[in-house]
Amino acid sequence: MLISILVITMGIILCIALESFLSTLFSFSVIIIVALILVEKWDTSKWIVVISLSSIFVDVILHRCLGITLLSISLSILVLNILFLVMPKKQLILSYIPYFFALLLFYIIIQIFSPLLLDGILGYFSLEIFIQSVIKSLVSTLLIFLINILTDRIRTEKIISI
Amino acid sequence: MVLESNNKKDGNWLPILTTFTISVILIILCNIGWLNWVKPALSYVFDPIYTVSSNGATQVSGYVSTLTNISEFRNEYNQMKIQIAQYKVDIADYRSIKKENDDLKIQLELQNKEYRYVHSKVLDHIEIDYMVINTGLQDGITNGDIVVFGDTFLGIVIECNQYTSIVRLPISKSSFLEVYIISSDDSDGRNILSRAVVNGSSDGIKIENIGMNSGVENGDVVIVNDSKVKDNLVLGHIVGLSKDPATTTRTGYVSPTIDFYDLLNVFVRLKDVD
Repeated sequence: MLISILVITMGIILCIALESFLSTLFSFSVIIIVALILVEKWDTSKWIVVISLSSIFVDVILHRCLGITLLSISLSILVLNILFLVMPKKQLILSYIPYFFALLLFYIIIQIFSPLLLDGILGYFSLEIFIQSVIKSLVSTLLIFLINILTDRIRTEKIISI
Repeated sequence: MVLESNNKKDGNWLPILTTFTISVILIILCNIGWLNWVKPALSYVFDPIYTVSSNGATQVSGYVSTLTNISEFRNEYNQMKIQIAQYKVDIADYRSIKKENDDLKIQLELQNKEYRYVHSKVLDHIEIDYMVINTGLQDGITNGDIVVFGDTFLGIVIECNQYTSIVRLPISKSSFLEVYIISSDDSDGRNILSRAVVNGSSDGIKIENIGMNSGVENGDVVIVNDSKVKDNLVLGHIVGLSKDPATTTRTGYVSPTIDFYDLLNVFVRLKDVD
């Protein structure tokens, strides 16, 4: 239990460091990838605590209104779950289309609503920003795909070793 | 176990509801101002992480930007090199023109109006004895013409080609000139102290036959007064005057007024104006 808490704490700090690094470099978010990957793999209560805390920390360091990242994550997962109702989960390409749209929604919400909650003005949104969001969502989807493959293999090996 | 997991994955709406509620509460509390104390406390802990990561990202971004624009930088660098080279040429040209202008001003102020002068540039020196200039027969220069700078004697033209000439400097061993010496002190009225002969040597321009009781001292001015020169032109100052009481004459050396090897422009005084 103690080790688990320590690992989670270290994971949160690493996640925040990566979020800061990639946010400055490419305006790229790590926390949404972590949230989307762990939502199906972790216990719900643990996921809620970890993601809520991480999102609050991210809001603090990126000078956003507290709760906006968590709101974006919850709406993204809502979209993900809705899309999974109409799209199959087990097919390779199709199963990642909902992830793409969920990520795209996350970036758009952050772009538009973060300034709104801070200053009362809607964030600037243009075709260029939309294309950037699409590219970031594609890269994030690819990362989720790779991480899922990696974790599935580790799990398979474990089963074989047992 | 697998069934339970599938059920969990298929109908996992609880995280959405919970996080949505938490986020809405957080947003409301944040806008009300009840969470104003949270940000400073958390930023105290997490800002160092953000600062370090952000600085790292900025550095990486700089490197990436440099790498992606490297061809542009190279082009810019090459263009700047060409531009700098052009500026250097312009500056050298400007200096050369300025120097020529200064020399011409000096010459115009000091020259003897009875003579005609040809402006020449120094091309080279042959050992230490001779100077090559860029004017020759086509400019009207003939052997025996005197080369001056202002009222300072520089040498005698000894060989003329079509476009260049060779000037024998006073330091040459073949150079023999009659001179007179006047005091450097204005209170002496600038009278001729002594006559003498100068000739070149490996040690410098040697001056001989100075009268023992002439009162010549180091620093006195040596004026060329020779049939070959046909004019009174300054050569330099006496240095290293001998003090041997056993001899009837004194010898010394002449320090030229102008360093022959630093000159860019000289003027050739034509022997025959017509």
